[in-house]
Amino acid sequence: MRTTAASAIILLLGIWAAWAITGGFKAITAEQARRLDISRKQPAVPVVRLIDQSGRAFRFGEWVRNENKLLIVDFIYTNCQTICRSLGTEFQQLQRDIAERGLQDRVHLLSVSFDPAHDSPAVLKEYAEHMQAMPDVWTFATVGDARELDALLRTFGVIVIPDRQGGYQHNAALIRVAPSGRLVSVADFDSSESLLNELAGS
Amino acid sequence: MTGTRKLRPRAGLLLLGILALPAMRSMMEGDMALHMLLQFPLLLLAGWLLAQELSEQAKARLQRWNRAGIAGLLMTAMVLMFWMIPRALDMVLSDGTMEFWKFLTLVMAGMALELSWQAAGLIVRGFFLGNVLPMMMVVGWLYIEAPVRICNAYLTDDQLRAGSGLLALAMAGCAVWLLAFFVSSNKVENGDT
Repeated sequence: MRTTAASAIILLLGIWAAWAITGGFKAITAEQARRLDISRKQPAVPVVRLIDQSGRAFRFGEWVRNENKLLIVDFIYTNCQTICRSLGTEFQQLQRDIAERGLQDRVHLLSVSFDPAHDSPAVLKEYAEHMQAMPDVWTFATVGDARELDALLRTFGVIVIPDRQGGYQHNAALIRVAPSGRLVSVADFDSSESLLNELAGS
Repeated sequence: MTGTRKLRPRAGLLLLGILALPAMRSMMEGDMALHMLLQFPLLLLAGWLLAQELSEQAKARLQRWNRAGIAGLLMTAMVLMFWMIPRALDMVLSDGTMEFWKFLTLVMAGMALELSWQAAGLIVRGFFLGNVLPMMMVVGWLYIEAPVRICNAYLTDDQLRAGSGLLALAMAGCAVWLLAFFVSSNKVENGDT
């Protein structure tokens, strides 16, 4: 009898703990949890200063509200050989679609470098040219003050770790920021086509 | 006998102390394979050793809540399952409270294992191993086959090594279990009957 009671309590505690850590059995990984968390809480972009490829400094949140466009954000570093490449290709494709459909006034792309030590405005400019980025569609930026990087990465749920070969590994996804300056959702980097369809349709 | 009785809990305490050192923690938790395949078992071992400090009386009292080791082994299985959830593993690295809970629950799981294993019969042990070992294999296979990083805090290579290690450990566990089963059934055939 006592054993049955103890077992039942243990079982309930175990199920509760598993339920809690998976956000109600919806996310077994931190990445899924991050996405779920952002779409539920819709946090505002943090108060940080960014510098774009032309050297212009601006406050992130203010800039989003002034632009009054849906922003699609990814995080990169220009020395990246792996996943940022696919992000870059994805953004090139998106840029083409945006231009073709004339959605420049409603959607903007932003690539933020988390490697401000290396990615100065000059480096970003070169990278932007290499990616054939159109300035009215696609902005490259990094933080003005490296100390503000943490707050930025935390809000966007981006975790960056050095990969022992001088590079970084990081979770890659496209994060959508509404014109109000709030993060709306996180999507894999092959699902933006439907978003543009939606925008073009509405 | 009394000598080892006192020695073992002390060894457990010492082991726990060493594992809790900040330098030791960051070293082991910085590598996914070390984290899951070395730190976890060592914490279980520390709990196992510490449990031997309990007096026979205390053990007998606990045993009333733990007939045939059912509650204890259930707890161990639950704790192991929980810490194999990738998100839990990730959170430990960024959240001190979670890390404390990890230490506490794994040590308790090791104690429960000590207090339950002898009492558990073939069926209860079989049920325990039949759950824990396949679970390790599934998680190991998931880490090996996953096209993306499952833990945001670890590199892909780490994930691959941890996955292979889990799989290997689970298979070794199966082999030992099978072997133990044959040895014990031989004993019954040759001696006791």
